Amino acid sequence: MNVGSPEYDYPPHGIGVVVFSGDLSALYRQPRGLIEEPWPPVQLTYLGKYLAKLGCKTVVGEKHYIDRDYVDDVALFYSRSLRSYPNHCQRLHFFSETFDEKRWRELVTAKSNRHAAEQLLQGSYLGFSVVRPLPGCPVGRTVLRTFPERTEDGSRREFGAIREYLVHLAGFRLSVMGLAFQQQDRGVSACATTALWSSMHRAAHAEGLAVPTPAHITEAASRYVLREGRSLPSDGLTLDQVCEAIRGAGLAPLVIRGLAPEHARAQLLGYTSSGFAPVLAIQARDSSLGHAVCGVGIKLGEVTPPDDAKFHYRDAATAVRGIYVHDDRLGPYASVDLYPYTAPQGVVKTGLQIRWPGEATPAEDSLLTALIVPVPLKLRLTIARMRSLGIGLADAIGHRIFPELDRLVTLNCRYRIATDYRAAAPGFGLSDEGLYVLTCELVLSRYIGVIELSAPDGALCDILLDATETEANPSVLACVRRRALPADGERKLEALAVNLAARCIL
Amino acid sequence: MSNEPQGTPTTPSRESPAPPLPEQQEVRAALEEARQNVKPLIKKELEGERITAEVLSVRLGQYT
Repeated sequence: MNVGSPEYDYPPHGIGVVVFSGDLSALYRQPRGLIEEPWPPVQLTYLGKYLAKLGCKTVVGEKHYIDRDYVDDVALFYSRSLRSYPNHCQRLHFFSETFDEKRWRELVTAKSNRHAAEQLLQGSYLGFSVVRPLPGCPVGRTVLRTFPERTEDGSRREFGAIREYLVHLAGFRLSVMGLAFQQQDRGVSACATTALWSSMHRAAHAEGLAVPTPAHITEAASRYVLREGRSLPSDGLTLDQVCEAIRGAGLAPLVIRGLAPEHARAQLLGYTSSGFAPVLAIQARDSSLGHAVCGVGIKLGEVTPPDDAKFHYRDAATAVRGIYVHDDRLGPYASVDLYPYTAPQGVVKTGLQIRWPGEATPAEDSLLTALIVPVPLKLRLTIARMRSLGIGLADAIGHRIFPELDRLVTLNCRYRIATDYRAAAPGFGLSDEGLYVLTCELVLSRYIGVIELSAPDGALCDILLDATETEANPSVLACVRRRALPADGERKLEALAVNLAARCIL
Repeated sequence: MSNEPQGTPTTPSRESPAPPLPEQQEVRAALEEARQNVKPLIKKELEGERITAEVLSVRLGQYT
C-alpha cells in the first residue's frame, strides 16, 4: 500500500495531423456503458457532414486544451462527481488544405518564412471544435466558418450575428468568422442555456462585456426564479429564467411573442441583420414541449410587391425565405424554413422546418412561441416600433410623395452602430456640407435605428432614430439623402424632415 | 372665460413658427393619409410586444 502520493503530473500534450475522412466520429472514442443513446451522437454526424460540405481535408488535433466554458462546468458541477473528470479538453482544427504530419512539422519549424506558413494555414482554416471528456456529449465550443453567400437555389445567405474568433495554434495566430455552438451536456446546461450562450457570444462581446459561460447562465437563471425542482442537473429553463440570465450578464432581454410568419420574418430580419442573435423559443407541433435554438443568419430571396393593392410600398422582410440556427440537438447553422401554420382555433402561427445540410427532408416541425433577444441596456427602441413609423413613411412615399415609385419603394428597418454609419457616409452621395454635418455636427446615440427606404436603383434616404427612446416618433434625429434620391427629391426630403422635427442632411 | 377683449387682432410674436410651406403641407397630408391606411398593419406589428405570463412560463428543454 502506498498512501500520500497523489498524482501531481501534468497531463501530456501534443499535436497530431490526420486526413479528414468525412466521418468525424472516427476521431472520438465511444464511451463505455452508453446504451440508451446512439453512438455517434447526431451532433458528430452533423458536424462531419457540415465540414465535408465546407471542403475539409485535414484535421489538426491538440491533445491538451483548457476551455474556459468547460472549466467553469467542472468547477460548478463535475468536480463534485465521484468520477474523476479531467479539467482539460482536446481541440480539433479543420483545414481545407491537404497536408500531413511531415508538412505540418515543416510549417511549424519554418523560422524564416513564418508569416507565409501562417498565411497558408489561415487561408484554409475552417474553424475548431473543443472535445470535452464527457460521455455521450463531447462536442464543446465549436466555431466554424459559414457557408458561402450564394445558395444552390440562388438565394442569399446573410449571417449578421457572427463575429471574429482569434485562435492560437502552435504559435500561429489564426482567426475564424462564426458564432460559437456546443452540444448541451444535460449536467450544467440544457438547450435554453446553450442557445442563450451562443446568442450572448455576439451581444456581450459587442458590448465589451464578459461572455457568460453555460455555468454562469444556469446559475444566474436560477438565482431568483426556480419554479420547479433543482437547478443542477439542468432540466431546462423557463422564458422568465432566460430573461433573468440575460439581465445577470448586463444586457436587457427583449421578448417578442411568436405571431404569423410575416411578423416573425420582420423581427428576425431586423434583429439578426443588426448583429443581434435572437433565441427562438419553439414548441413541437404535436405537443406542448419546448425547445430553444439560436438564430445566426437569414436566407434571402427577392422582395415581393404587396399582396393588398391599397398599400404602396414593399417590405424587405418579404425576402426572408428562412433562417440559420444553432440547434444543439443537431449542429451549427442548421437551415430552417418558415411557413404559415393554421392552429385549430384558426390562428395563424409561424411554423419552422429544421433541415440537415444538403437534405430536402426536414428533420423536424415546430411552432415559434417567442423570440428573446439580448440587447444593450440603452437600446430601447424595438424593431416593431421602428417599423410602425417606417410603414407609414414608406406608404406615403410610394403613394403621394414619389408617386413614380408606387409599390416600388422598399422599407427595411435595422440598427446600426453610429460610428459605422458615419464611416459609411462618404458613399451616400451627400454634398460636402451634408457629409460634414453628418460626421461632425449631428449628435447620435451609440446604436441608431435606421429606417432604410430604397428604390430599384438603390437607397433613397435613411431616417435616423434615437434608439435610446421608446417611441420612434418623435425620436427622429435626421433624414439623410442617399444616392438614388430623385433629382427633385431634396425639397421633398426637407419637407419630410420638417414634419418629423428632424434635421435634413443633403 | 378669458377677460381679453374679443376680436382683438393678434400680432405674431417673434417665437411663432413660420407657416408651413405648401410642400410641407402636402407631405403632412400624405403622411396623415398613409397613417390611416396602415393603421391595421401597425396594430399587428405591436401585438408581438404584449407578453403574457403564459409565454414567460413556457419551459424550454423538455424535448430533445
